[in-house]
Amino acid sequence: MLRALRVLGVILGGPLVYDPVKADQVVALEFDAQGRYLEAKIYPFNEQDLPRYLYKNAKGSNPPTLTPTLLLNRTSIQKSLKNARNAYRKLRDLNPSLPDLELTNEALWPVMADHIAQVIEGLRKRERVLLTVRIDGQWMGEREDIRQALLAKFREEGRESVALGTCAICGEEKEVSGDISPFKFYTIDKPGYVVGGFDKTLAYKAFPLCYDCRDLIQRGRQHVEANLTFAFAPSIRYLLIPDFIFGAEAVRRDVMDILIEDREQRQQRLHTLSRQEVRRITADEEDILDLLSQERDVMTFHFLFMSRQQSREAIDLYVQDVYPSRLRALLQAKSTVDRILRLPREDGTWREYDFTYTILYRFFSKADPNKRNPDLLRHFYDLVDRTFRVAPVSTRYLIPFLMLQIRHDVVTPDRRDQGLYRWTILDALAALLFVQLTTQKEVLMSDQNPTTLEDFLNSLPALDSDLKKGLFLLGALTERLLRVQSQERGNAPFWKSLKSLKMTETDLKGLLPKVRNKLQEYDRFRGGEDMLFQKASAYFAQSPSPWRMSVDELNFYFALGMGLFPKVAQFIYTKKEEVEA
Amino acid sequence: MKVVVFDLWGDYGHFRRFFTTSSPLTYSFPPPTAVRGIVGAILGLDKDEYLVATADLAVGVRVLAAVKRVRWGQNLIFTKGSGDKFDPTLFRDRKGDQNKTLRTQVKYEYLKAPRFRLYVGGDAVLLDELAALLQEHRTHYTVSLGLSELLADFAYVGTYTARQLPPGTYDLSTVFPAEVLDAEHGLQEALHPGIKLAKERVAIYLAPDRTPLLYQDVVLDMGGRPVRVTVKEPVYQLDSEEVVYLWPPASTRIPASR
Repeated sequence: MLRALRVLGVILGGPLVYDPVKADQVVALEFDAQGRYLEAKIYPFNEQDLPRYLYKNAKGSNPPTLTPTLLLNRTSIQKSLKNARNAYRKLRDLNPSLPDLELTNEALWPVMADHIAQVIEGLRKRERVLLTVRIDGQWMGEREDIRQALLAKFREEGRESVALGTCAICGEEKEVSGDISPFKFYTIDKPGYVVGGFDKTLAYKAFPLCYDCRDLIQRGRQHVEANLTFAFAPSIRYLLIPDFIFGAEAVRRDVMDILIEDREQRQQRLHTLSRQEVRRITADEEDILDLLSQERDVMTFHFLFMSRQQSREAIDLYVQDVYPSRLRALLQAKSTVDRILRLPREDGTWREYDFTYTILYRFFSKADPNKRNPDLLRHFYDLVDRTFRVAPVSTRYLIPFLMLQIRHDVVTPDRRDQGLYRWTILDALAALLFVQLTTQKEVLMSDQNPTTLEDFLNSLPALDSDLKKGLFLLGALTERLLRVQSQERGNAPFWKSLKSLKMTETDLKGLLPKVRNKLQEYDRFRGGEDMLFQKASAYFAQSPSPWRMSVDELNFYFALGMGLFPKVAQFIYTKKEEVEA
Repeated sequence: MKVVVFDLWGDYGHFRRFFTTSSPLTYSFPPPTAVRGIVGAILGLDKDEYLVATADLAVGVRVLAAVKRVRWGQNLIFTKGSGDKFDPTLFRDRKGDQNKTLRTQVKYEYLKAPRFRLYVGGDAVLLDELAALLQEHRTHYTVSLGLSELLADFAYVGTYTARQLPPGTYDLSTVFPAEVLDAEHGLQEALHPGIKLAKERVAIYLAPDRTPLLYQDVVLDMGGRPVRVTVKEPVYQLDSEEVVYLWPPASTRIPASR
């Protein structure tokens, strides 16, 4: 991973001495060649000028930057001046030949602050202002002496554990340090983290990194963070790091061309792809997985899911060496799920379905949807990992999580009455299908366009036994009754018989005649309903008794029937008007 | 060359990647340095001795079971005492941070049900002793898979004679460094469906003072299958017909000054 970032850093043209920053205006304190203060001037901020501004974050938070370029504190300008002075002083300690700026003269600060306030007067409150200094008409980044001082500053980090050794990344023998990791999931702030002897000065033995590699990796990381960071689900982002097993030069160039292309061009290509109906697998608009999945197999991707707590970084999930072919397979699974779950509308059109990992996240993030913080993320990451690696997942493990949300919707009157539980059931089935399709080596999929109810039942990989099919049909029949009740009386008291979807085998066996009776009472037990009843009975009769399924599973397959009622309706009603409600 | 072969397995394994501490990730296989440690444990060599004692041995690693990983948070004792000194105390008042933290949760990555075949080659007397101990299923120190808590079991497979093969195209059973691959055709025959190659950067040799001397990108198939590759450096074939890559003895790489 680190080596891949280093390669990216080299391809991008080497380390950057500055960090990206966003602002609206730049205020420069102008000094003459001798360092005498002249005036404050305002310039429009231009991203192309970043190398000139030479903005560079410091490692800690105090001082905020390594150069006197910083975001202006508009309410307390003198504080910014003090920070700028401190940063410049440190640079000058490293290179005494730098001009002695009057920035160090505190007596002048009120004047400077006054000038700055004047030039930014009239700017809107929200506008961010970058404060910098210009010496003899030159920006910081245009002066070689300042750039050199800054480079020397970079070398100051991790001096405590410096030695001559073999760099873990480039393999060259040179000055290495054990405390300059570009990622903060490597820290040696606790004695136990320093391997062998708890001695910080020996930390270089565990992770010897040379300063050149550190800078290149940082460059690669910056690029990945700016261009290859994607939203996976709410509040979950990942870094996508391209790597090459072997690193054939031609392939590397091809891929890098794609990765380094500017955003606009890339979006255009994505647009073309979306026209070809290759859909995105994540929720992010700018996701380029589709694009990358077209590349050749000699390249792999690392997916790094990290969480940040202040300056500390923790790896939540690291999926290494994912092949483009695997991405393709994931996309195919997604389109299969989308196809199975598109529902017919009454007017004959289709309501399209769009599966993303956000749907998995919904079921595998919180045990109680009313909780503030996710408590099931471990399961979510585990599932994501399994879908990437084709590691089998048992349906029995998934169903309790899926039922948790379905039940929540069923017992919450608002959600139940608005019919929202139907979408939750649909999502639950989507999650189940997607996981099945991506984690099992072979999932039998029959008929793509089923024409009979049997074909349809057989086409759903989730319904692989007579009992599951029977429960599904019973669910569909019950949903029919609930719809009829809502239509006839404005509410559906039959919900009570469903025991918040915690029905046992006995309950379900008793439910079948109950539903039939109720439908007959409403005079709605006609051809279609009779067909469902007959088929459900036949499937139950074929299933060995006792049913040997957990309550969660029984209710899950039952709920699927409820959620997919519109699909079932297609096959049991011939006339359009009968599909009402 | 004589090669002693034995299997090593356990419920979980963890061979920490060098660039992680607070979120430890694991390698998919025991790196050669860990193999030397395991041999040292079986032979009863102290942690200060085994690197020197095993310096003349060639080592190889085969992944026998598909690589599976699991992650979970583990509560460790917060070891930063007052004045940033190492102090694994559970007395709150002696803790060195503002919140007086007693424990810290660290997300660990483990190998699940790992199984490896280890190859130890050379002509040293040490090998006879190793083979004898393995056959009797005896060790001096308990063998583990990376961390002391992750106990391992082992079984002797056999002692074979290894014949050096010239550069060419072979089905390599073991993991191998990317740099032995032929620059043009190295992976040409390896890339077919089912093979999932991964590359991990590991330290190969440590000096007696445990300073790393060489890092390499090591290639393996995540499913543990042999990989058909074209190599530009010699590999070995055992009597059992198996073709393996063995890292040359550390003594050939460590400067005399160390």
